[in-house]
Amino acid sequence: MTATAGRRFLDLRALATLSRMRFAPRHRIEGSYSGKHQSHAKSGSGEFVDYREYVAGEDLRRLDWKVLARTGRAYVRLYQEETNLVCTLVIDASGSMRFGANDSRRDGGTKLKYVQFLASSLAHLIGCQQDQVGLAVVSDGLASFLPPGGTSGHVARVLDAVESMETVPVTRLGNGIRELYQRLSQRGVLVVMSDFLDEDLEDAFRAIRLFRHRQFEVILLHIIHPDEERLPSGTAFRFAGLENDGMVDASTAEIHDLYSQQFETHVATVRSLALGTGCEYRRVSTAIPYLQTLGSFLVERSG
Amino acid sequence: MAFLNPWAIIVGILAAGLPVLIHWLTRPRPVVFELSTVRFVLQAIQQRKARHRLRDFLILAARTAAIVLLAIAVARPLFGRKASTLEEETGSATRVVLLDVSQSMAARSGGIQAFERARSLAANHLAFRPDLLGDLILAGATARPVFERPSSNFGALRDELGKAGPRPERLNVQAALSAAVRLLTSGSGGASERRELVIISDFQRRQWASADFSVLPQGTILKLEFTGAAETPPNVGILRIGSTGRAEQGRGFQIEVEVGNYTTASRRIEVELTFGEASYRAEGVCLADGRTTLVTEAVPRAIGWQIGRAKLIANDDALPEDDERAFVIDVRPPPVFALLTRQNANARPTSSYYLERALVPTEVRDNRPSPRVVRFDPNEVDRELLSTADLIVLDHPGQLSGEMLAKFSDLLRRGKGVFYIASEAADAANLKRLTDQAGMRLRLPVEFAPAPRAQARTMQFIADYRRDAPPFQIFGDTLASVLAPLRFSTDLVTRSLPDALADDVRATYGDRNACLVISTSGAGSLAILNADLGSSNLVASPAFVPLVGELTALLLGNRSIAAPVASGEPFAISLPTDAGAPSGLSIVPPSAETEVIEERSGPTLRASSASVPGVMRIMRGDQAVFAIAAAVPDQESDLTPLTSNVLQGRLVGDRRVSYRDANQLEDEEDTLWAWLLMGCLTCTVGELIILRAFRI
Repeated sequence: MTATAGRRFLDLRALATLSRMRFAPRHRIEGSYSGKHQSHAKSGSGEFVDYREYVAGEDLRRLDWKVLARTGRAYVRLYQEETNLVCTLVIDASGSMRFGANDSRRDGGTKLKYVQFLASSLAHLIGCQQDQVGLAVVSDGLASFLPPGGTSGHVARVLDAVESMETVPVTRLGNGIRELYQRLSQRGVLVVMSDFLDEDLEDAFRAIRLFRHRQFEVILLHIIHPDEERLPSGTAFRFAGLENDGMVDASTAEIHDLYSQQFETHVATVRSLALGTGCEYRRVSTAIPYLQTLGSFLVERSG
Repeated sequence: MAFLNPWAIIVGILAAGLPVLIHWLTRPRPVVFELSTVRFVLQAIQQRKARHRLRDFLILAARTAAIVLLAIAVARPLFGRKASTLEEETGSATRVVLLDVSQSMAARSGGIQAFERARSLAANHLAFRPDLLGDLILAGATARPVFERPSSNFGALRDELGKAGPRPERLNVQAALSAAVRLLTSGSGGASERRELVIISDFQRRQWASADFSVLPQGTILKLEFTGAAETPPNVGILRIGSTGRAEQGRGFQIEVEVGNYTTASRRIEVELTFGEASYRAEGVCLADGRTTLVTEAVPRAIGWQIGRAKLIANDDALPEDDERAFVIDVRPPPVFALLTRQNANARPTSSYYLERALVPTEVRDNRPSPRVVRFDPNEVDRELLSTADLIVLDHPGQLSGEMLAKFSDLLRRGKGVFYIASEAADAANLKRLTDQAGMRLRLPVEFAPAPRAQARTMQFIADYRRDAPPFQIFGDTLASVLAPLRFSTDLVTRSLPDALADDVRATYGDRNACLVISTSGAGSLAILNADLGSSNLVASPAFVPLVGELTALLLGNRSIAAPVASGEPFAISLPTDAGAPSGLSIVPPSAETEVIEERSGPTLRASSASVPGVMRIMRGDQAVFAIAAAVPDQESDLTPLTSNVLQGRLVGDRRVSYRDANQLEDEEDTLWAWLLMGCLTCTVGELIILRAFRI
């Protein structure tokens, strides 16, 4: 635990309330080691789950001799294999994630900062439950990648990487995820934390769809800042883009409703694409404390 | 298209730019705000633009149209003609503005005096320009230029223009044009200098119909500015006040008031006349665009010069100034006749005997001579009494002296009547010498001469006569039967003179010799009856007394109300013989322009300019010895203008002329101005409606 102490985005005392909770996948997974999560494989070890008729050629060691003796029929005993969780955290480090720096109400809480807290906590919890956690930072491509690992040292590196993240003005979420796909060789859980303010959203989801084809469980955490949902009130604003969008002068009173419609359409599009791709979608507002968000997330996942 | 106020275009542009400037200066400074979702802002703006493109276009169009319409409205565009301020031509020029200040310019139409319209037009023409010399002529009875030569001091000209106003005078067009010619030709420039004459007037038909523009220098540019009303304003005015019969104390006489109705409908006219202590009223109907003479009988109570006023009652018209007019009546005592004859007063029957009785037929005599008929022997004439007599009657006077004939000539000129019964050779000589003495003033239609001895001229009858003229007029249809039995005897024959007025021969004998001749000399009249009453049966005829009465009334002058002098115009009037010497005479009210002077013919009242309408009295002590009324000539009452076609075509000929009706100018400008403002208002309201519609 010394590896996680003194982290900037990790509050162990706050996380103590969540220490008993586990991050579990909804489906059977494929792990490297034995663990607490159900694996795809059914082998001779593990917990008994069922009988199946013997097929010629099968390993005779799995034949239930007692049943054969009583019934004269050959049955094989099936056991559920348990493995560990391999989870990769994908963090969007595009410029738009820097939004919220001027928000005095939330002590300058940018979306990235919120994600950093959330990812650090999640990585810590995954590490604590003997599972493997990796980190991929994407912006205009795959900026950095730490393959999943389960050691405390690995978790410490993940936390270091989270702390040292810097935003890049350009977003190519699809490119980054596609590169990640080429780097990941093992199935697992992919947790994508992004605002999905990508010019080519379709491309991003095409990349995500690759993971889904490989039976990855993909969880999309859509990070939304409350100031993005509705424009600030006032007569004249000069809006400066965070991703080389230039500047736009506008009176928020005139476009307030239209903007809100546009944003809600964007959120709905992301949700629709996510669900259409078979991903789990969660709308995460930075207005809600990250511990509360994490808690509710784990409550759903702990089952 | 030109603009009356072109500066308004610049002001309009500035006014249009002012809101933009204010908006730019007060616009809120935008707050820089970093936003991750700028693309949504852009999309929202694009979407809003697409939605409001039509609205923005309509609002922009409405705002632009409102500003443009407002600017044009203030600029006052003049379609189809040039504004006076814009039709300036370059180069040096001399401009003379001839402004009509006659009485008719005081006529009001729509509450605006024609002169006020004229003043503003004149002010436009008297705007300063570096290469322009100008002058202003205030044209009334006389032309009054502000400067003797055109000047560049337009400020002074405009000051004089501001002080000017309509005067109670008629317009002397030719005097005004002559003054304009003098000013135009006195300019410092050479022949190349442009000359402009701007005439601003109501162009009354009766004043301008005879205007002669040929006196203007060649190349003069004429600008005619009509300032009268669009439609001739209705006007009713008193044109003349006169009388029939001699005004005598205690005896009735008729006062005539001629009224002009210059309207399109018949009117009932009511005139109140006051003079002395009495008041009279005359009523009648005057047809549209016509004249009528109202008559009322008045009885003077006092002798002397009586001042009266005639006033139209309940008359609401364009020119109130001509609704009232002053007049003077010379109320005389019963006339006194001076009978000059060599016949004995007691001899009867003689010609003078019958004549004396016919002159005062109603006088009770009791075998005493009448005090109203004073007999004189021509050799023993009391000249003072002769002057005070109202009528001089000569009957068989014999050969008169040259001095006596000169006296008669002078009395005739000054208004005294002379009744000459001529039948002798001496009478023919007297008349010949009297005619010579009077010179051009007396032009008898015939020359009298003694009849040849062989030719006995008895039993002459009247063969030809003028039945419609005095003294035969009163006999009416009975005239023929009255004159038929009359037979006359005379020793004179007559010979017609060339270049004489044949109408002065009122009756002719059967042998074509003149029987009765009535002619004028100066202010007096001379009647000559070619007959010897003593040997004629006229004295036995019932027509004798009325015939003599008519003749004496004619010679005494049946105009007790003298024609007034024209206000503002010069005049010279010989004072009556009983006015006496000029010394000791005073003029009331005093006038620096009027004086009484002694001329060879006697005292004369002379004025370079008659006073304003009213009465001028010549006093000797407290006694008025003469009075004369001043009035505006009646042509000022007729406000009918001369049409522009006549002015430009017939009168002005082929000169370079522009005619402008200020009345139409105002109407069009006002109409257009109002419509433009209405359009501006509509655009503004339309903008609000558009905003509201798109908000929904």
